Amino acid sequence: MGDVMDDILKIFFEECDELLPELERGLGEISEEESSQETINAIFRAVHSIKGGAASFGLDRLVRFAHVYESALDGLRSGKVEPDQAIIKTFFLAMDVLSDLVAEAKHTGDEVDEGRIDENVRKLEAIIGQGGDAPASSEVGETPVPEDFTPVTVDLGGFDFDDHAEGFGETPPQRLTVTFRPHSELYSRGDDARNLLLGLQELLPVEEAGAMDVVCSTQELPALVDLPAEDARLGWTVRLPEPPGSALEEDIQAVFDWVGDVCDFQIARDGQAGEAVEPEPAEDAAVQEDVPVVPVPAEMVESVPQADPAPSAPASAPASAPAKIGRKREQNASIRVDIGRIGMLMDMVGEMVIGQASLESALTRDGALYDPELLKRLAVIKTLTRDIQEAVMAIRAQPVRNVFQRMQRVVREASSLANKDVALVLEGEETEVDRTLIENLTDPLTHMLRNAVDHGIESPQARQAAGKPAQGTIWLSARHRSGRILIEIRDDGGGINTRRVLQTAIKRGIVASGASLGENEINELIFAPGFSTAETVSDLSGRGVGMDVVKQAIQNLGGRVNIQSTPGKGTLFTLSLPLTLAVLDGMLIECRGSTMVVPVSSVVELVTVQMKKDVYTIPDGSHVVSVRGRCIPLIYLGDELTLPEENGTQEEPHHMGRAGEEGQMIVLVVENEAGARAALVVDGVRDQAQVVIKSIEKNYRQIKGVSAATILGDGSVSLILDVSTLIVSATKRVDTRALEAIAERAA
Amino acid sequence: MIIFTVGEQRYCIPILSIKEIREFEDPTYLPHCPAYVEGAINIRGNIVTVVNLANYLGTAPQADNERRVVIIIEDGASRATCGLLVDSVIGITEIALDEIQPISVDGGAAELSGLVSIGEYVIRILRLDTVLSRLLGDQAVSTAAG
Repeated sequence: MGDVMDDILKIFFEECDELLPELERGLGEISEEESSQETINAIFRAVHSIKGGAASFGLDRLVRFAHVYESALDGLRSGKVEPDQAIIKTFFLAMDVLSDLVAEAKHTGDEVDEGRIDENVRKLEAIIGQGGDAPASSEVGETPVPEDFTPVTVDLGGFDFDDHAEGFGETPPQRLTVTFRPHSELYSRGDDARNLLLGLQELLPVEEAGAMDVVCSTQELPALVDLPAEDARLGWTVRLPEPPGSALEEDIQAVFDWVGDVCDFQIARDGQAGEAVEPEPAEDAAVQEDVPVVPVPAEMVESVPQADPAPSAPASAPASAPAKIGRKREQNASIRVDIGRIGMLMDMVGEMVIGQASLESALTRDGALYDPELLKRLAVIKTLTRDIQEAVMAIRAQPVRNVFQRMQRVVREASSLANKDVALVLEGEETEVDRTLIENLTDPLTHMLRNAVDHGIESPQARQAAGKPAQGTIWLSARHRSGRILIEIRDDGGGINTRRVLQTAIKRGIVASGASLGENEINELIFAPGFSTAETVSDLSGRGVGMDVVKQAIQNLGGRVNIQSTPGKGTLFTLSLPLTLAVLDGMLIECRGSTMVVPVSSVVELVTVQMKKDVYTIPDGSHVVSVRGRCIPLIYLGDELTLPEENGTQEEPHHMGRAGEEGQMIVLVVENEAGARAALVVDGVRDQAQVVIKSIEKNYRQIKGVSAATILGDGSVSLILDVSTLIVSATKRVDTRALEAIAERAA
Repeated sequence: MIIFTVGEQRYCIPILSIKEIREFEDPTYLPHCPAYVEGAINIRGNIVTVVNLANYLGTAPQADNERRVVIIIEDGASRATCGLLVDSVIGITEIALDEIQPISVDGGAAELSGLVSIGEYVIRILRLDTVLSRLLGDQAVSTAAG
C-alpha cells in the first residue's frame, strides 16, 4: 500500500511540475497584458489543483500557502483586483515560495523559511483585502486534511486531474447535501419520497441515524385552493454527515438509481450550492445524469445560499459546469506515456531500418533476384520507415519552454540579489528538442543567466550614466538551424572587459604574462577552469567554477559555445546543440578490424603524418606527434584498448607499431572539454554517420575509454569512444613521463 | 532445465531463465574485457554481452564446432541480459529438487550450484547469478586484472 501511495504522490509532483510552469506562464501573460479571462482561470486552476492534491497527501504547509494564494487570485478572477505590476510581482514571488514548498514536500529542496512564507502570506492577504473579500486565511488553519480521499484521479493519469481535483480539493467535506424533488410520475409508479428518505437514512451508521438533517421545501407549493391534488410540488434538502473513508456519494447515487428519470436530485459538498429543482423534468434529468456529480466549486457559483433552492439558482450552476468540462477535455488532448515505451519503439524502428537494409542488399546483390518492381516497392517501405522514425523522434520532442520558463525565476532571484533591475525576454520557446536534452540544459543555462545578471548587466546607475535604460534586458532565444538547435543568450550590458579578463587570466596564471591574444581568444578565457573576474566572490556567481563548467556541460551534450562581445553594447553567447542526445554525429573509424565511433564534436582534424618526420619518441618510449609545430601525445588506439591483433597483421602494414617504422599513418586529432588534445592512431576512417546511442552498462560493466555503443547499418555492434578518458590517460602519462625525463636530464 | 555441453562436460540451467537461443555470430570485441567475455552482439537493438562458457569454466572448448550456439538468458529481477556461448544444446529434462546434490561453495565452485546424475552423465547446474554479477559488478577486479 505504501508503494501505491508513493506512486500516487510521485504523480502529484509530476502534476505540480506541469502546473507551476503553467502558473508562471499565465502570470507572464498577465504582466505583459496579453491575458484573457481564460489565462486567469488557468492560473487559478493551477494553484487550485496543487492545493487540492496537497491536501490529499496531508502536505499542510503547502495547502495553507496555496490556499492564501488561491484566495488572492480569486480577487483577480472576479475582477475586483486590477492586476498592476506590483501585484503581479507579488504573485511571482509567492509562486517561487509555492514551488519551493513543493520542492520541500518532494524532499528535493531545503525547508522553506517560515518568515519568508509569512511575508508572502501578508502580501497576498493585502491583495485579498483589496478585493474587499474577507481574508480567507483564518479558515485555512481549521481546514483538516481530508482523510477520505480515494485517489481516483490518479488512475486517469493526468487526463483530467483538474476536473476532479476541483472536486475533492474543495474545503474538505464533512457533510453532503442532497437536494431532490420527485416528479408526479414517481408517485404514479407507486413509489414515495419517503422511500428515498429512508434509503438515505440507511446509509448512515445506526448510531448516527439522527444526524440526518431533512428540510422540506415548500416553495413551489401553491395556495391550497390552487393545488392540483395529483401534482408533486414538494422537494427535500437532506444533509448527511459523511463518515471518513466511506463512499457516501456513490451510495447516495445508488439510492436514486431507480428513480433517476422521475426525480431531480443533486448532491453537493458542504459549503456548495445545493443545486435545486429543475423546472422541466425528463430531458434535464437526463442531462444531469451525464454529469451527475458536478461538484460545482463554491467559487464557480457566486454565493448561492445553499438551503435555498430558489428558482434563480439553477440557471447558473448547470450551465457553467458542463461547459467547463467540455473545455477541459479539449485542453488536455495529450496523454502521459512512459519514456521506456517510446525507447522501445525507437529501438524497434531502428531494427526495422537494419532489417530493411539487409533485405535491400539481398535483393540487389544477387543478379537472379534483381527485380525493379520489387525494389520500387521496397523504396516505398523505406520512405515509410523514415517517416515512422521521424514521428517517433517527434514524440520525444518537447518545447524548450519548460526550461526557459524556469529561467525567469533564476533571473528574478539573481537580479534581486545583485540589486539590479533585469528583464528576461524569451523567444522561440516553442522550439522543440529531445527531452533528454531539455533535462540537461537547465544547469548550464542557469549558470549562464546568473552570470549575465551578475557580470553582464551593469548597475542601474552605470546604465543610466551610459545613456541606457535603467532596466537591463537579457534575451534568451532558441531556434532550429540545420539540424541543430541554437540557443542565444544576449544581454545589453557592458560587454566583456577584455583588458580586465586578460589581467585576471595572467594573475591566475592561465596565460603567460606578455602573451598577446586576439579579442576572441581573450573572450574564450572566461571558459578557462579557475577563471573568475568578479573581485568579490558573490552568492550568485564568482566561485570561478561558472563558465568552464558550462562549457563542459554543453560539450558533454555534444554542443559548442561561442561568445561575441561588443564593449558597451553587450554580450552574446551562442550555444549550438544537437537536437537529441539519443543520436550522435559520429566518425566511423577502423582499428585492427573493429569499427568504432568517435563523436564528431570532439574531432579537431584528421591528418596524415610521416612516421619518420613528424613522430618523436620521448625517452621513455611513448610518442608525440608534431602537427603544425604543436606536439600532441600519440595514442595507439589498438594498444590502448587492447584490441586483439588481426589475423595476418604481419603482412599488412596496418598495425603501425613502434618508432622507426617507415611510412605514413592516419591520426585523428581529438580534443576534450578542457581543450587538451591527443592524436589517435587509427587504421582508417570509413564514414561519418548519425548513430543511435545504446548503453552497454545495462548488461555489462563500464569500459574504460568507451562511453557507449551503437548498432551499425549491418546490425553489428560498434563502440563509441570516450575521447576525454582516452586523452586524460594519455596526457597524464606523457606529462609525468616528460617530467621524469627532465629530472633525469637534470641528474 | 535445459542441458547443453561445454567441452566434454554437460551443464544445465533453468529453462525459464532463457529468452532465446541463437546462432553464434561474430561479436564486437570489448576492450579490457576478461578472457571469458567473448564480446557484444546486437539483439533487436539491445546490446548483449556474450560469455564464452568454456573460458569461464576453465575447460577446453570443442574444436571447430559448427553447432555452437548462444543461449540468451535474462535475470528475472534485474532484467540484466547476457549470452552464453555453448558448444551444443542437448535437450530439455525435468529435474526434481531432491535429485540435486548440492556442492559446497567453499570447495571453490561458486560457478555451480549442484550436480545431478542422469543416466551415465553427471550434469552440473550452472549458477547464472554468478555469471551476471561477474559481468556487471566487481569493477575493481576487472581494472586490477586489466
